[in-house]
Amino acid sequence: MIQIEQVTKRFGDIVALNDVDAQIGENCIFGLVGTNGAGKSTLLRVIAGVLKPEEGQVRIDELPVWENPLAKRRICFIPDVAMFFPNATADAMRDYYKIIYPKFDGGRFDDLLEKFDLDPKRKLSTFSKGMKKQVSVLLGICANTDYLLCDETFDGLDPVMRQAVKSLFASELLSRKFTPVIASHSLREIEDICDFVGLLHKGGILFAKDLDEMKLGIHKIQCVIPDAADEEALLSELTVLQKEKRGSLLTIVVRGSYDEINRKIQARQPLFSEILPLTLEEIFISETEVAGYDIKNLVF
Amino acid sequence: MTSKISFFKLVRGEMYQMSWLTAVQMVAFVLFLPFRALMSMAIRENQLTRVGTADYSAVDQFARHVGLGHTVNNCLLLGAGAVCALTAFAYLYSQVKQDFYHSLSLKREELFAAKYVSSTLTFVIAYLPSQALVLLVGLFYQALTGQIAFEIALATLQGILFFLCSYSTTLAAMMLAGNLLTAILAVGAFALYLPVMKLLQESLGSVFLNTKVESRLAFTNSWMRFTSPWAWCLYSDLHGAKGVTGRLATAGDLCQLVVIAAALTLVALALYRIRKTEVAGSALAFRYLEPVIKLMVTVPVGVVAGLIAYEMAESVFFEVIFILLFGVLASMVIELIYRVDIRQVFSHMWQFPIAVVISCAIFFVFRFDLTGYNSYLPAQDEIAYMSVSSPSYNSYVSYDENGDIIYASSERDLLDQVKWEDFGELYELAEDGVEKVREYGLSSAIYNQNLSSIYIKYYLKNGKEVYRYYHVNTDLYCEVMNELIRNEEFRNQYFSICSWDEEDLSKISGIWVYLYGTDEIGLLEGQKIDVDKTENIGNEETEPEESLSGKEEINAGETDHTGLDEAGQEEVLSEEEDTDDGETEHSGSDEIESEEVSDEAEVFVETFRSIDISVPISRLSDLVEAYREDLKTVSFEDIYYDGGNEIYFYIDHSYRSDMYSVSKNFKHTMALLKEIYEEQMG
Repeated sequence: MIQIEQVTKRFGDIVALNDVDAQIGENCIFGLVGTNGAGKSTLLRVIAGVLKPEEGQVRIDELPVWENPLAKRRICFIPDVAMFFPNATADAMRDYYKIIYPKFDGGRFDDLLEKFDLDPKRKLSTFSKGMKKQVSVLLGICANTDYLLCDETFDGLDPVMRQAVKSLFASELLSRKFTPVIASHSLREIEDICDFVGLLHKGGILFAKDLDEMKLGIHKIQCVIPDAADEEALLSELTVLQKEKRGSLLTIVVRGSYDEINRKIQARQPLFSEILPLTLEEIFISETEVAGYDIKNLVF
Repeated sequence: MTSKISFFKLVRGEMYQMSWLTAVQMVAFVLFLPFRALMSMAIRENQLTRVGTADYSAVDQFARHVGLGHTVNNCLLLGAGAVCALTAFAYLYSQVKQDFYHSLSLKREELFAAKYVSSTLTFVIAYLPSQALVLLVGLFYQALTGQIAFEIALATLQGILFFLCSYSTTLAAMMLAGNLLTAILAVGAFALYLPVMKLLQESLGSVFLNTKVESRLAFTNSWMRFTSPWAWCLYSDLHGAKGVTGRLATAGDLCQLVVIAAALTLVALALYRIRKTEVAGSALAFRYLEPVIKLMVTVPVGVVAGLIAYEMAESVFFEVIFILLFGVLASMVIELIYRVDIRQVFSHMWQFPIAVVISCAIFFVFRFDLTGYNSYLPAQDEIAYMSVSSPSYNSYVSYDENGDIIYASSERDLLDQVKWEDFGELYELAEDGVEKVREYGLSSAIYNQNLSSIYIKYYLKNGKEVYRYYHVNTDLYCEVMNELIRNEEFRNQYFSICSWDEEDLSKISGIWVYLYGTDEIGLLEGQKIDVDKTENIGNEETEPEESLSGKEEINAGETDHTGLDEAGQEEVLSEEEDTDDGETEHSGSDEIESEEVSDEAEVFVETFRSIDISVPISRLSDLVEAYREDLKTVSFEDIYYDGGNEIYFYIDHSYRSDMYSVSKNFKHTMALLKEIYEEQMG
């Protein structure tokens, strides 16, 4: 388990992470989503032991990660831009990874390279951005660490490769102790594969929950309440994250259980009501809007 | 269970990544070490085959290119250290590379050690085989003696330590920087800042402290050693016994290098540990150093600007303007380096007034001698002893076999010879000197007043020793000196030749006499060139060479008596450099400079000539005795206005010499020299 305990990280006057508290369980895929500059990459670098937080700490399986090889042995970090040596080939990187990740599975790496149709003898500098990303993901997976920290993993991958990488993660999860932590802007990819999601905004974590549980606890409702007083009363009864009214049609995003919300709406005798499931993207927009990241402020 | 990264595998992996660096170093070392030695020996062999003789024996020739004390080799080793450090730790300036390396399951110290060891090994595996090849070259040409082999081994060990010193210094500088540009600037600053500051201090002193007596050259070299670890290495051959290839590094020298390398490595490691990963890309790793470094650059730039303005205009107004202008420029350049944004060059301008005030303070303290350095005159009751010396009497420098200055008989050395308790007359001289300082200040008018320049040393009762240079009234100077040199005790102190004992004499390995204006002395009576011949010289360009025998030439050009001292020296040195074993081998032939003889110059032909005499060592005692005898009777003017006639005593088979003036009133000496000369001329 990765425990992030009141982590604060500053870059000069900029607070990149502000008192972040979260836990990432084992054997699940954790998605880290957030607004631009929210601190996703910074959080991953703190977890990887690259950056030292000014306050708080990160523990991996109860071991503090900073300057602790025992803890860091359980992690492999794939940054947004992968580091390859000048003139290196996939083979050369495999050999180096064998040194720095003693459990690195060279045979599997060779197999995967073949499956992904990547030439092991070709210089990586001649690879496209997506191909380099594939190599870095394969290196990370074959490192055989318990935790794989991936920053913008799907960025640059074509749809086929995205599916391939997702299935790789899934198969790893089934075969061994494996916990990928994926930071991404691509909410659709996160929604597809992640069990848990953490939402970062302006250096703070808004929540870190089971994705299904999250979807059960937040709903989008469209209804028409004939009486304005009833409508007012309904809104005051519900935990409204987002509200929009067009004519008499009221659209709201509210927190709470399906049954409880439905009961409260029905009590106001609506002419029409419908409770719709939310996508992760809608949840993201609703939650960040509450935190002041309102789309209406950005639409001109 | 998780496994640990193998340190040795990591080092091997890193070395593999830096294999290009190994290759580059190997090429450089092979070219500069075995290949150079091979070429040198091949050229000697070729000379031997073609001419039948060679300038040097095989062993000597080999020793000239291998082993210890070769500045070029040392520079190469130091350069390798800097390049290896920059290559191995350049990852600190890339966020991508830091993400990779710092996420590995290694402590920072382990990663540091792996990088350090791997890059050092790239050097070692390039350097050691090169030195081994040097030995093979020596073996091949049968020039390898046991001593040379030992010295090559010692040089190899010393070379590795030089590398480590340079490497660790570069590393310490790199840890302060946030990007490669500032890292290179930091390395440059580590190497040059203190020497430049010293140079600036010396410049201020030489321009404004016109009573300052320069430090001994040996002292300057010793001081230079402390300016940076690189300087320490380059000046490391100042001491130690002389070997076949160079001065032998002592165990102490090697230990010092080990300590320097270890200390700087620890400093670099400490900085590495506290250095934050996120500083990659910024100018400095530690932001609080920004104003300090800015000040360290802006202040000296301002002072230099003030100095330039003084030299150009001698106007306080322009000096202040220059200090402000160059101070602003320096400040802007530093900010540009820090921010990499032209729009931010005026950032932190609040620091600028501080820099200007400090620059002005330093500059004007020197400019107006606010410390009272030039007009310093201790009270008589503060003085225990005094000493005096004259520049025209003593100044010269000596060179080693490579042409490097190794010894300067500085004014301080000569002042140190004398410790005169009854210093009343000398104090009068000093008072006159201080009066002239007050009268003329920094004005160059002082040089047009027919004054004599002298050096004075005050031995204060509190143990302090103060040296000063003054311009004094010539009549007063001669009057005082004439009185003093009549005193035997003073003579024994002032002229070291008077106190030479058997041991001192045994150290003298050569004597050479240079006489100028010999007609006046009368030595060339029998060789006067008659005017008819000189007329021919003027009329027929080819005639003079035929009419003058041997190496005799005629100096018919315009001659300046005051410049003869130095000119004579240069001539000595150029001849000395042609000798093999460090001993002077002068032929005793006449030598007069100049090729062209114009009509106007003909009238001078008779009066200006020079000869040099190589005095056999067997006549040393006679010469010293004669000179001592003459010193009892000659006046100070005979020494002071020597006309460029000098006797050089060479010491210890080196190029170091003691020089004594001689003139026609040195009757005993002249008679002896004439006798020797005539003997030699048959």
